[in-house]
Parts: sequence; C-alpha cells; structure tokens
Amino acid sequence: MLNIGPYRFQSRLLLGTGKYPSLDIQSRAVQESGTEVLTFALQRLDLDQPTEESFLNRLDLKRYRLLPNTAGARSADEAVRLARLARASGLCDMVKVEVIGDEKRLLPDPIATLEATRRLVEEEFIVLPYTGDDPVLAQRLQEVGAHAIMPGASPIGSGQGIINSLYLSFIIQDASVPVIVDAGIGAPSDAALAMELGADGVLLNSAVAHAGDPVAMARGMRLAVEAGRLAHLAGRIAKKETAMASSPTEGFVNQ
Amino acid sequence: MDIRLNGKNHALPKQVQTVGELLETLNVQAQLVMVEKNGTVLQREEHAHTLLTEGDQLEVVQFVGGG
Repeated sequence: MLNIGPYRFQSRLLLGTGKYPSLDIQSRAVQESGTEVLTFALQRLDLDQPTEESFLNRLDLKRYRLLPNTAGARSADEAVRLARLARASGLCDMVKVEVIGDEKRLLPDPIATLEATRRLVEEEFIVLPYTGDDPVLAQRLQEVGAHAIMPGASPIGSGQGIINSLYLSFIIQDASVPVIVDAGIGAPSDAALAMELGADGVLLNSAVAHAGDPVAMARGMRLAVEAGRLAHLAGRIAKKETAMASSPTEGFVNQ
Repeated sequence: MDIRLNGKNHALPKQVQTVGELLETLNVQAQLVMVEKNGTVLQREEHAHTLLTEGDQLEVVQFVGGG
C-alpha cells in the first residue's frame, strides 16, 4: 500500500491528465493504468471560447483521488493561491507543489518550492512537492512537513528517464515519507528502475499520453511499476564482473 | 456595474448582483469552477450569497488536463 498523508492507495502509479489525443483514449488509458491518483492543472476560464468537455466530468470521483498541481506558479505566493483555488472545488485537499524557476528546462525553484510547501502544510493541505534530485532539499522539504517527496527523473516531458540514479537513491534511503519519481519518465524500463531503486511510486504523463498507443503504454507502465516494486522487495542479485554458470559445470555427456 | 473578470473589463447586466448570478450568465453551471474575489478564494457554497461591487477583481478558473 502507498500511504500519503491520510490516504491509502493500492496502485503506485500516479497519472497526469494532459495532452491525450482524445478523451476516449484517455479514459481507456486511465483504466488500463490502474491508477488511483490523477493530476490536474488549473486554468482561467476562457470567456471568449466555448469550453471543451472536461475529463473530470467522465470520472467516477469515488474511484480516483485528484491531485491538482500548481503549474504556472513562479513564486510561493502563486503556488499557495492556486492550491487554495483547487481546494475550493471541494473535491481535494492534496496538492502537487510545482514552482518553476527555469523556464527553458522547466526545473523547479527550490527556494520557492520549500516556502510554498511550508505554508501549505500550515494550511493543512496534503502536500507533494515536485523537486529536483537534491537529497538535502528533500530533507528540508520533509522537515517542513511534506507528505511525500517528488523528485524529477529528468526534465518534464523530456522522456530521458532517470539521469541521476545515485542521488535518487540517496533521497530514497533518507526519506521518511513516500518518494514518488515525477517527470522525465520515457519508457516502462525507466518506471521499473525507479521502483527497483526503492521509490514508493511513479508519476508520469507524457510517456503515456504521447505514446503511439497510449492505452497499451498505460498497461505497460502499470506492469513496469509492479515489476519494479516486486524486484525491490525481492532483492536483486549483486552485479559481478565475471560469469557465474547457472547450469551444472560437470557431468556433461561428452566428458 | 463594471468588474475585472479574468484580467479583462466585464460589464455586468443590471440583475446580476452575486457571484452565483454572474456564473449563471457565463453558462458554466454544468462545470466545476472556482472563484477568487479580490485575492480571496471563495468556497463554492459562498458563490450564491457573495455580492459583487463596482471594480471587483474576479478570477474564475477550472480544472484542465495537466501533469
């Protein structure tokens, strides 16, 4: 079970809701992924355009917990404001703190992320900050009460997978709250590796939404997260420099 | 009465006096929207009785797909 604040989840795969080819494909992908947590963003209502059907309307909200993000925030103040707006929906009290400090690479602003996390914890949100792969920052976020830590594997949407598995391992080793690898996952092998390293969960969006077949990829990611989790619990073999035969080395018929 | 709505000037019809009535004129009843008035987030149950006054700054937002 994945425990985040007061919530318990069977699935360790958290899924974003952006950029799918259609709502029908998205619905099937969500189903196949087995996820119980879906992220959303907030946007101003465009008063000049008729609004499109929202994916929210299609969801059975008893089955899924919403994780609104603070995308678009460039400061702690903006992140807090977006989190309050999201909670005013009456549907959720979890929030993914996302404060971008590097527009080009969409990397999180560590100072503003820490400040927003501290304030939102005080306001009794369940706070999941999206952060870099800095182990010290991960500790600071826990000290101010983050309910989970969400280090990026690599830049958002880049599909580069885990580029610093060592620092990610440090974060996981030292964490007393769940570590959810968020952003940069490209393929099921990346998700499996995150789980093998001991991550408690994986959050991804583009890797499924932009896949050739999002529904099949959603299933692939589900299986990868489960496989990686099993491998972590089972304990993988150590890597050796030399071969070690799996078959008997004596008693062959030609001897 | 004129207000600022999502960063633009917005003239309110005479009969519109509350946030709830404003949302009705915007045809968003079927949707889930959240409202901030002059920097303060309103709970949904507050929409119906929150009065609008000249120059109010309103933000009306919705959930959209995101990661």
